[in-house]
Amino acid sequence: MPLPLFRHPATRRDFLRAGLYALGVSAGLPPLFAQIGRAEGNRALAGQPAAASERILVVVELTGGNDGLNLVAPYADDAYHRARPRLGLRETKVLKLDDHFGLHPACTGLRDLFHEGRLAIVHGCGYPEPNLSHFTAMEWWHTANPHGNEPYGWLGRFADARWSPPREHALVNLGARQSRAVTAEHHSPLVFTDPRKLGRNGTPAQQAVLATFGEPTPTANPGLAFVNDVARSAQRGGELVRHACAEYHSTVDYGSGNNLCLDLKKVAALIRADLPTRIYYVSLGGFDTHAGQADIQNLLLVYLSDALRGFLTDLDQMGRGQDVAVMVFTEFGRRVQENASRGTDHGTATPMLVLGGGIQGGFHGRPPSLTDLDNGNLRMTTDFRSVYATLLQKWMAHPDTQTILRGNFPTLPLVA
Amino acid sequence: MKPWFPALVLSLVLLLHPRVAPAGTSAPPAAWRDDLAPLQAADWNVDRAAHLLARAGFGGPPAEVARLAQMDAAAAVDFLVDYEKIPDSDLPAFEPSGIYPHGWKFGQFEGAGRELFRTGKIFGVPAAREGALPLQPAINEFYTLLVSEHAEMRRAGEWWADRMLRTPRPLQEHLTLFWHNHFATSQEKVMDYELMLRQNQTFRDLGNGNFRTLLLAVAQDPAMLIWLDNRDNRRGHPNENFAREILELFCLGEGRGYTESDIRELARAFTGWGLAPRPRTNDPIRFVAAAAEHDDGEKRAFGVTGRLDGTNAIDLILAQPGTPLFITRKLYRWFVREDLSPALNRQLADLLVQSHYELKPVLRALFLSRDFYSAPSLGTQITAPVPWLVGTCRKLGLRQLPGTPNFTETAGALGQVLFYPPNVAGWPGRQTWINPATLTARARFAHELLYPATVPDVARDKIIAEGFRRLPDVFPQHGLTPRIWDDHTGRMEPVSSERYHQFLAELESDTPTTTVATIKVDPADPKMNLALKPYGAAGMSKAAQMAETEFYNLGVGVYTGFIEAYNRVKPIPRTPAPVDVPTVTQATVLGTPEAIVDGLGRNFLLTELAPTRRAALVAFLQGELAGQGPNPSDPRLPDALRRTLELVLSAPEYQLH
Repeated sequence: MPLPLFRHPATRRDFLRAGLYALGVSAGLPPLFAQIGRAEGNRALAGQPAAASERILVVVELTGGNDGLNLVAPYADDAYHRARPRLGLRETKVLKLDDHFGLHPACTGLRDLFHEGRLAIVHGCGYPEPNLSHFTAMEWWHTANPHGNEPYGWLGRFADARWSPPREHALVNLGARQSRAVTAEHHSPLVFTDPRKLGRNGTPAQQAVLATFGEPTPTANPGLAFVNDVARSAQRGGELVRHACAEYHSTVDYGSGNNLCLDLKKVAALIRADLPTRIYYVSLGGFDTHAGQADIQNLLLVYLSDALRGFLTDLDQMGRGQDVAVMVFTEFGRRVQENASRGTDHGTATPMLVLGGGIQGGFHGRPPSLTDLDNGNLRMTTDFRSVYATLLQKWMAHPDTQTILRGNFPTLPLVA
Repeated sequence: MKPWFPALVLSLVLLLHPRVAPAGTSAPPAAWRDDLAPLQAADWNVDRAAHLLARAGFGGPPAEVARLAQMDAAAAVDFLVDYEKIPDSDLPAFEPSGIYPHGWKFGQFEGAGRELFRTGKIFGVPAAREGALPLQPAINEFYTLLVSEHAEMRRAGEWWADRMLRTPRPLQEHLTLFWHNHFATSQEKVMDYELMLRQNQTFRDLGNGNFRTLLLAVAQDPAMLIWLDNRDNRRGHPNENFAREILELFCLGEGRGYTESDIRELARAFTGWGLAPRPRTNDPIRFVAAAAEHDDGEKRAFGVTGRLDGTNAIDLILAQPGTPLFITRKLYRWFVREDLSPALNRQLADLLVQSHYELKPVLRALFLSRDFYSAPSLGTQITAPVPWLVGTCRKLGLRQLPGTPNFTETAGALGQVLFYPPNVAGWPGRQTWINPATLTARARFAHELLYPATVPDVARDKIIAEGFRRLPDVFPQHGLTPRIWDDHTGRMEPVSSERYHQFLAELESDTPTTTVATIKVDPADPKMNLALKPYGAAGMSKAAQMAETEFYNLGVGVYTGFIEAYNRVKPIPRTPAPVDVPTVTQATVLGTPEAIVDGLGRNFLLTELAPTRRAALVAFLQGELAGQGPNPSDPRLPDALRRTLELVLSAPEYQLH
């Protein structure tokens, strides 16, 4: 089903004006599309950024434990170079942010965003009694509850607390498996990598039967009602996602050669199509750099920086730059001292990045000391749940973060 | 076919016989809800037998349901609960691959470090070779063991699933799964498939026995001692992990009836419960209560003061009023339904206490109760992935777990890999089992089961983890040979660079959902820094000498480890499922498309198919047969039935039991 009005958009408002109203909304749009389009159209035509309650949060997971000390390098600190004789980034190499910190040379895109005031760097994020296992540490970042054995993720709990009844397609997770972070009691995230596979195959005659699986049908059985809802959501979501991805061809350069750029392009396509999604979750793996770190991390940070820069530029071009915040995290930073294999071992505290047009750029929090260490590891200075609390409360406008995060964590001035 | 035939005929007769009461009027009385009184003989029927078999087992073909329906209700429940009476000696035992040729296990790494000093070897492999990358052989073996552990665990998981499918004692395997979820232990940390299987056997042996016996066995189980760190719980250096979870997750429930102080005191009681020292490599791993590590001082927990040891601690926990409430609640929510009334919970807990923690009286009462057969209990539970997969195979009359589609990969896509629960709290289950991706994956499994790929593409359990596949290109200087699994030789065989790139391209065009590589290296430093530790710790000059060289190449180690591990671990068979579709769909007996669809509904669904869906299925089958009635000689018939069956297995109704 071609959607001609999705082509050649100059800005989002032009698109809405020209598309929805001049060409006729119902021309070839699936009904849900048209509905959402209309609501968003009214708002965008009025020239307003999204209300805080309709803002979007994109979470980027760096899997494997990114070396934060070589992402945001304290190049002016002698202790850094003593601990990192071979891996340390010299003053001449870093992309200077100020007279103490510089970004890894791969991160030209991030450097620009920092200078434009759209990249916030939160120093020394961690939690008390850190765990150095990938498995456990990641679980704790996902659930925001160290030692808690939480069944649901922090984003899933947020969605459940925020939208009752559940909001359809509130959470989208790009990935082969559903992340614990978006696992919810009442919400059913859309999880996929290939939009074409989000949906069921079958002969045309079988499709007619499959369509009835997605149709609402009255039942007194609450379990069946739930599965019916998911079947409906899968069918409608699959359709929405396939159309959105097929019809959006960004002209922006996101870099290449990795799944993060591909996934962020899909996120851009879905935002462009005005899906009701408020949480997107993507990830990039390979950060477990125990050996030969320099080359591997260089490549990964090129991917990260280019993809984020591309994504923000794309959002700007579609007029959504003010509506979307991106949070970047990893399960732990790495040991201060480099190891003998030109790599680094599992560590603790690490910076988090928050990006977007509505974000208060610059440095936040206090940098951890490189000399006052805990078994060779940085002592955390900001609880990562403060960043979560800030994004939920200040960005997503959800006041009660204490219930979601199982504790009271002070917010940071991250939102402009 | 032979042994099934009489039963099949019998079941067809039962199914074809008009039900005594038409559907709708046979609904259970509303008063049955929360009523623990046993079902009367007159209330027993085929539908209730199907419900019992679905919940206490994994469901089954009509013949199996019919056999239960022929007994009276109490006898059917006893048949399932008293399973020791049923012989099961012909079930196949797990066949180990032999992944420890030198006797060393992955978890013995620290011992391996000592071996280095004594013998110059690690894991029996020379380690202190001169020249570049002196530790490379040891690192290769490290990864071989790491990959082998996961690959063999995967085989063991498939062995267990196959056992669920074959067993004449379905409740025994279902309880084994229940306790695996209750005392959730993961190979991710234990990293010893033999210990995981030993724990699995404990659950199987004690699953319907006495809860005290089971709890004591679990507290002394080597996998559990590793999983919750009690092996590190020593006098003066308590580790509270096990004490916390035995209260929070195993016996009382979070925040119910205990204090932080109780945890601390009970942790002291469990000090010294650990693993026996193993002076020789091949010494068995076994529990020991080490007196020297035990804190023999006075403790005060739950208002009791005394020089408590681990057994006293367990008895103290069992004496708490919250424990029988918690255990019966967990059983009820697993086997019956989500919402348990406090009064019924109390009744069940009293029953458990009266029976001195014997589980059979509770199981019997549950499965025979009117509440179990009341409307809110019927067809309302979302079926967990493993029971769903096993149940589907059983209902299709399969005698062994199919190799295609692969069980572990499907279970992974559905969110439940055996021996890898997400954490000590087990699988969150319920609604989390179903999301758009998993629902689609269930439909995909139905399709691949009924339309298996005829030519296996690549052995998916023998694919090297992404990121390491390209190493033969990256490190030509290490002489890495590209290797691909060869089904004919059963080994990773060298291939030309051209063939290898073709293979990589094939992978990218159809990326598998999982590989065996749940490989999460967890080298909280000593393991990954193996290269440094043994030398550095001894302060030998060799350390200084080597400081500027690389001891090993990690990538080479991982790549080589995969190749070696795949040669070491037995292949997983990839035989497709022989589904006898005409028999399963009873097409020739039932006649009309309506009757066939209704027959499928009876045999596969535990909740009524929505009328719109039934009508669409009937129309579909009619269309496939071009308006003709099912005729055994119609060449369109087998495929039409197969596609109809596939649709039924994809229906929302089929995801519940």
